[in-house]
Amino acid sequence: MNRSPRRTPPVAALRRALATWLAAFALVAGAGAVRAQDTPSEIRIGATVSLSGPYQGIVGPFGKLASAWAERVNAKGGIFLKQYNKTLPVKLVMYDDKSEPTTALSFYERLATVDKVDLFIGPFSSGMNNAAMQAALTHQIPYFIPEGNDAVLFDTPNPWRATATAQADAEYQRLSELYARLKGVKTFAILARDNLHEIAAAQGFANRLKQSGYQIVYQDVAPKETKDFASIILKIKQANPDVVSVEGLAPPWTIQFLKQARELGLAPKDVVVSHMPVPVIRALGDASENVIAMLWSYEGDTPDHRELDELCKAAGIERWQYSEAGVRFVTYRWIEEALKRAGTLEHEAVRKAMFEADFTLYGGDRVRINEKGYGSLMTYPMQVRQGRLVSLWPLEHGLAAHAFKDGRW
Amino acid sequence: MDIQSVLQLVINGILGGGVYALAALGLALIFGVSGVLNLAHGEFLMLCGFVTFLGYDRLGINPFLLVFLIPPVFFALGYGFERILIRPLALRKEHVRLASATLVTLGAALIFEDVASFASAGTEFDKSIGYFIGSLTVGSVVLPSLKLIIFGLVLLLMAQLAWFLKYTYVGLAVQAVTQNARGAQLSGVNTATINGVAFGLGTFLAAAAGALEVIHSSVSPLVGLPLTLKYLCIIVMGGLGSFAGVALGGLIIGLSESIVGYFTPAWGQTVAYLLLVGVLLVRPKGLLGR
Amino acid sequence: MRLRAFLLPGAVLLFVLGLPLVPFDARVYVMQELTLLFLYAGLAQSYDLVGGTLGYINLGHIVFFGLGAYTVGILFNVGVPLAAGLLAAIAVAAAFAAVVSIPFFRLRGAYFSLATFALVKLMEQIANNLRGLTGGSSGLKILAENRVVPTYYAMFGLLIVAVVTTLAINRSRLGLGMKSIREDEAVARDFGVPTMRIKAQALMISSAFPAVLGGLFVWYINFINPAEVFGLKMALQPVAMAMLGGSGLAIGPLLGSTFLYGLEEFIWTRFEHLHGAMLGLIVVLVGLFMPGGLARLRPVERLLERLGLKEDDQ
Repeated sequence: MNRSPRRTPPVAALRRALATWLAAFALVAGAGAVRAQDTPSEIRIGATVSLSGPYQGIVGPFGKLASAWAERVNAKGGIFLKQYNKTLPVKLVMYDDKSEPTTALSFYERLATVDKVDLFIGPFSSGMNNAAMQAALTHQIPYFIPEGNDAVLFDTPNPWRATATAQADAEYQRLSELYARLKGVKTFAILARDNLHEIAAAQGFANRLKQSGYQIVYQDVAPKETKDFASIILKIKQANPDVVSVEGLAPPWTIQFLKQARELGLAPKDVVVSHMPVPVIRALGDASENVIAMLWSYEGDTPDHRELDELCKAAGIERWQYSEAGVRFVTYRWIEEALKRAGTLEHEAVRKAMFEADFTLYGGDRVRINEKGYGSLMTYPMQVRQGRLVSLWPLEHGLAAHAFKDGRW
Repeated sequence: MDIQSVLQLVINGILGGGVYALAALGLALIFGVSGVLNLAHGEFLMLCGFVTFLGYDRLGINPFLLVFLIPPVFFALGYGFERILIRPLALRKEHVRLASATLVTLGAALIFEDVASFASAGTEFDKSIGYFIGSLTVGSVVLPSLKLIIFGLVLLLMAQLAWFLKYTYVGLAVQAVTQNARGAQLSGVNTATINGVAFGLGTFLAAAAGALEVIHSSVSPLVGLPLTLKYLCIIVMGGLGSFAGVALGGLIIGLSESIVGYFTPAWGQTVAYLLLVGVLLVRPKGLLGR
Repeated sequence: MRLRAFLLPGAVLLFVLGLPLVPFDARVYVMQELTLLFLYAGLAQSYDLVGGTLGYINLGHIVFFGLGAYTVGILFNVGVPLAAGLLAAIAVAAAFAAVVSIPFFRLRGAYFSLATFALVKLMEQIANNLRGLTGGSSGLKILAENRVVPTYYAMFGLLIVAVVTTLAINRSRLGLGMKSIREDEAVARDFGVPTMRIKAQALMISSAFPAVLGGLFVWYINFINPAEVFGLKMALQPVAMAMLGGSGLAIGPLLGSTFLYGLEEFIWTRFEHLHGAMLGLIVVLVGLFMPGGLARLRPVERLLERLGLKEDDQ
């Protein structure tokens, strides 16, 4: 069965192909010609949130939190930008980064080139920001880091990114001050998850404890995929520490460690778990009682406190349940301040305003960004009481309120 | 390091290796009989863990009960899986069959993984029951009661499997096909059905392992593929075609992870792969392989 | 007939080369997409030298990619320019290939595949643990810059080289040797084919491409970590693409990668959820109904013949 095609001489065929392609080009170019817009009609903010993967348990609700904020802003019409003499609404473009740095980066690239956003809110954690902020530098778009405060992010120059929190090394600052004054413990064991942030934060804690005269009898790093901590727990037990400190951003990892520690009879005087979002508290149940944690916000009654509580409520959570909600709140406020100050959506102007931001929250906490890009927010020590996190701050109050876990799981 | 600590590490390793061995045995059955590297094996483990968790979390059913109720359903699922996806490939040339089976099982694994991820949206991503029922303490060696029970169940299942393979017609047929498919066929064994049975059985074991895993540890939608590859490494290390080799492989991996994990947690996770490469370089057919 | 074979490739060449010169709205995005396509196609093509022509399913192909990426990244951070870094990457990969081929090629079939896969996991762990050199699990960064256009051309160029290499090998004695090993290694050996040498050569040649691709990748994306460059997805994707398109044919990996990648993009933009599941379904269907891959489907074979691109299928 032979269907002989109409044979055209090769040269003519080539010419035809060339003509077709040139026509295709012209069509594409014409159809996609850049249409310049004089005034923008909205403020496009691009972000990714970890809606799946290990970080879902710690920042999962923050997509809703951002939407709640945008709704609130738009309810007032939006943000007034002087250059256009208009109040522009906020439009969020968000994707799920699946808790993976490289996925996050590809989404930020997409946000820059396809969604053409005006500014970025970074993903969760230094590890992911380390990857994703490359897009900010490549495409020169202002990048507001919500949680990401490790030296690696700020030691290499990148004028397009900044964060409102103080550096990771200082994350345990206030907790260290508490322990510096607390009597009854001498030795610490510190376990960190093998990840950028946890390693640096844990080291910061260790340094401060040593300065206060404490002895670190165990300090190690466990891989992210660790599910069986039995060997590690054995080693910690052998070191016989008074306090066991666990630094981990991923709830599944933290939960497994704590459950197994309980099972295997690791019963120190105090247990410090830097991040205790409500999934971890729930997983442990009553065993979570008196665990020491840190939170990026604290109880209070100022208008800002109330606004934070309302945003959380709109996202279906409570303020203390997801520590970083406090940071997100500050980041949203920071974006509002920067945009108002810049008065325009032009990238360079917004970038400058991002660094020049200077505002106060909660009736007293001043937020400023230094030249390197670090902010000034710090954590507050907390303790789990009956399934909720209560404040161990200010220092005197914390010293009085603190109760030892004394090995009671 | 004193003797009690060594004992603790060894016991931890054995307890940990048990669940590995169970799931790996399932995969070995499938490979031994049908010659297919079922890349979706770990997904069945994950799915059963998922279902077990839901049964416990939403319906309040005792998960140990679920360990007995749910895996049999997965036998049927495994059998059906073979029937629908693998049997059509039977008549292809060896090389082509391997490639097709790889694609088919890989595709299935991706489907299961994604559907499970999607179904987890908004709820906890990692599912874990993790009862606390105390521990037995002998000297300074701590034996978590939950892990002991799980290990006991693993041994029970393995004993049942051994009994099945040695004392039932179907079991003997499975062994026969594993040793020599053509020979078994000539002896009157319906290899097509036995392939299905092997898949069903293997999937049953994976499901049981998944239920046990979610009870004492955790299961997330993404564990499937990495676990499958780890089990494949275990059975290749133990020697394809040797069930004892697989059990041995699982044990060795469990022990190594425990001991290495004590000295350097970082390498504890990869010791399985290191061992595989090491063993294969010395014994190209695996420890007890034919 | 000879000239006709160049029609489609010529048209594609023109299109790809000319694209960056045409100003249109989504230009950068399309270039980025195509760059990644060239990357995956190049990986699939070079994988198939060992997986298809030689017949050893090398799940460890990506090891060379990671090695190349880290070599170039580390050297770049101490001031070594890209070109020199890429040469170093090729050298590192070739050396690694030579060393591992001796013990690994003693294994057969599933043993070989799983051992090579275990090698990937091992490299991932080593990269994780050598924090000082590679940045560990936190990853390696190089100074970020917009390198979209040069990478686009470089990846495309490399893909062309990979295809030409495959075609050249297929016509050469080396290729003949490789195929004889694939068909029946014992018989080939009995006939005096130097199997160990040929296998090593095949692996070394195939290792050069992912090494360079890896180097270009880190240069382009400005950030890598062990989980990505030694990861499951990166490792299995070229294999799936080659098998899907038609392992053993020069055009197979090209078809497979274009098809799979295009499908991914399509699904990604049209549907909000369950992308992985849809892709998985396609892969299952291809495995069930297209043994031998897309390139060996009757209608596709006929189309290829009309375009003058059909090869001898052994």
